[in-house]
Amino acid sequence: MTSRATTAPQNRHAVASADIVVFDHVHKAYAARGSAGAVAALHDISLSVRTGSVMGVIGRSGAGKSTLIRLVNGLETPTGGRVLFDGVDVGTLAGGALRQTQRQIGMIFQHFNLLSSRTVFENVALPLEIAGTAKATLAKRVNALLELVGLADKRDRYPSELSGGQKQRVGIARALATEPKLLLSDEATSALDPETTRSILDLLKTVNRELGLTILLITHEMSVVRAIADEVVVLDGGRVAEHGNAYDVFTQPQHAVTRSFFANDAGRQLPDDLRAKLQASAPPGGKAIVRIVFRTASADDAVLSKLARDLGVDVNIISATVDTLAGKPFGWFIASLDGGKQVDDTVAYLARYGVNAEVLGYVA
Amino acid sequence: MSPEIIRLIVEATIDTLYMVALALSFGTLVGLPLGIFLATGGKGELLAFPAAKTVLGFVANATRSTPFIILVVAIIPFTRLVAGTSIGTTAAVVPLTLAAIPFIARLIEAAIREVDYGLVEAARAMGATPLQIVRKVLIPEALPGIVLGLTLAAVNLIGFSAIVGVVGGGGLGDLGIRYGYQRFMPEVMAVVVVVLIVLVQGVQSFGDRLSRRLNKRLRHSS
Repeated sequence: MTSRATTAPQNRHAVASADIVVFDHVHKAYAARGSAGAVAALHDISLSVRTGSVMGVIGRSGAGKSTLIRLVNGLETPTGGRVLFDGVDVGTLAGGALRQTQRQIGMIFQHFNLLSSRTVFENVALPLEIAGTAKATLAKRVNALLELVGLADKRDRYPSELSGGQKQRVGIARALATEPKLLLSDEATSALDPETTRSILDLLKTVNRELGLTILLITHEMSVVRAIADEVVVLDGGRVAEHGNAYDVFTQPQHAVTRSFFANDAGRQLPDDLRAKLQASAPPGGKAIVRIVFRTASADDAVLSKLARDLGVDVNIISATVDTLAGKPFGWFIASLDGGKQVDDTVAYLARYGVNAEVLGYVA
Repeated sequence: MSPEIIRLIVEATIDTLYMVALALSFGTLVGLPLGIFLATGGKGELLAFPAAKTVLGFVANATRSTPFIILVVAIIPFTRLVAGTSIGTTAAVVPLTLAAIPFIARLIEAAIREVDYGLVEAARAMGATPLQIVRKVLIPEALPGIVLGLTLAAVNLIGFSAIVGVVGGGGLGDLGIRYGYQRFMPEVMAVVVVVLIVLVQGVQSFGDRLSRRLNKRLRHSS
């Protein structure tokens, strides 16, 4: 794991009451079929999810994300270490005690997992029926939730009559039915188109803000994490590759896996024609393509013009974007520089001003 | 055709319906829970009880591999114990039920296994007990498939009911054999076959329609 000086200190050694979920040296291995021995899914995971925050866990498929999230609500049990929810070791619970804890944790799924035989209303009512809620309370609660997710007019429809986005809204209403303290999101937007994804993420954000609900979400899409997470965990091969607050991880990715996620993030892609021409080493007289990330909006112009003055480097900007992340602005440029030693000098120069520059490749 | 023959055909039809309806009801009463258990009793499954599942699975297979005509005569003492007699329409319900149970159980097992595992996982995440998952998730979600399975079982039972003539069970099959074949009355045989075709058609299309109505996965469902 890459440690970060920049990670907010209250997350590192937080007291138990401030963290709703704590992974304490968690291992998970699956018994393999045949004689192959156990297959490890998670190695020595130690993480805390701060109460009221949104934590995004990103990783490729097979990185252990699904296992990680299922340890929290007892759908899986760790083979080593402890997973604490609200101070309780979930792995040691069974029977009624486990079910009582599970009712305090809502979960939404990639494929929604709605009952096709139940209407929207009945689907949202299911967790309340399971918990034995009185009928009158149940109806009031379900109607309020359908109002919250904007589906009050669809209460008597069946899931097959809804769009993907509407189905996930039902999923969210259902997950909130028992007034949980924590919402687990298992690739909840992965089956949705970008626009619907945005509206679902907005809804999750609203829920986080207005109900103060902690959200732990897993995804393979950087854009999801960027849109919603306060804190980011990058999972790779069952280990935590990187962990920090979203702004730091996004503006200064430390681990190769994190960078590869950036490369796939739609907003950060190189123009196609440029990407096709990119080479790993510098041809004579070629130009270097660099990505320059500014962490504060004010620094932008000043540093670039100073760079041109001090080093005599021509910075040719190919594309630029300014974005906000967790309420803080950040910008990035794709630029070309003259090749050779100048490139290293430029990167070093920018680093002195706290500007992160990364050489993506070279073009002739 | 004489009024006497027509009366016989009507009576035989009623007998057949009576036997099939009772055998289907009792068969479902036992077959449904058995089928649910066969679908969920395996290792690592919802009601995990692998030893019992293996034994019950074996018993179900053994019963299903016994030819029905052998089953009918082999269990005569049991039939007498249950029905008070070993002869007649009511007595015939016993072997029919016994044959229907494992058949229905296997059909229901298949229907339950069709339910998306994601739904079970969602219910577990809500803190549902295994019984709640069976009652509120598995049965309602599998219902269209269960109805189709029971339809198939009903059609099969109509066929099986023709055999119980050997213990004086009556019904359409028995009538066809005794009058149509043994008394050389081909017109009786023809009528019996036509009535059976109509019965099977009716049962099948009723089952299909009911299953479609229950299936909310289809957008055009009412």
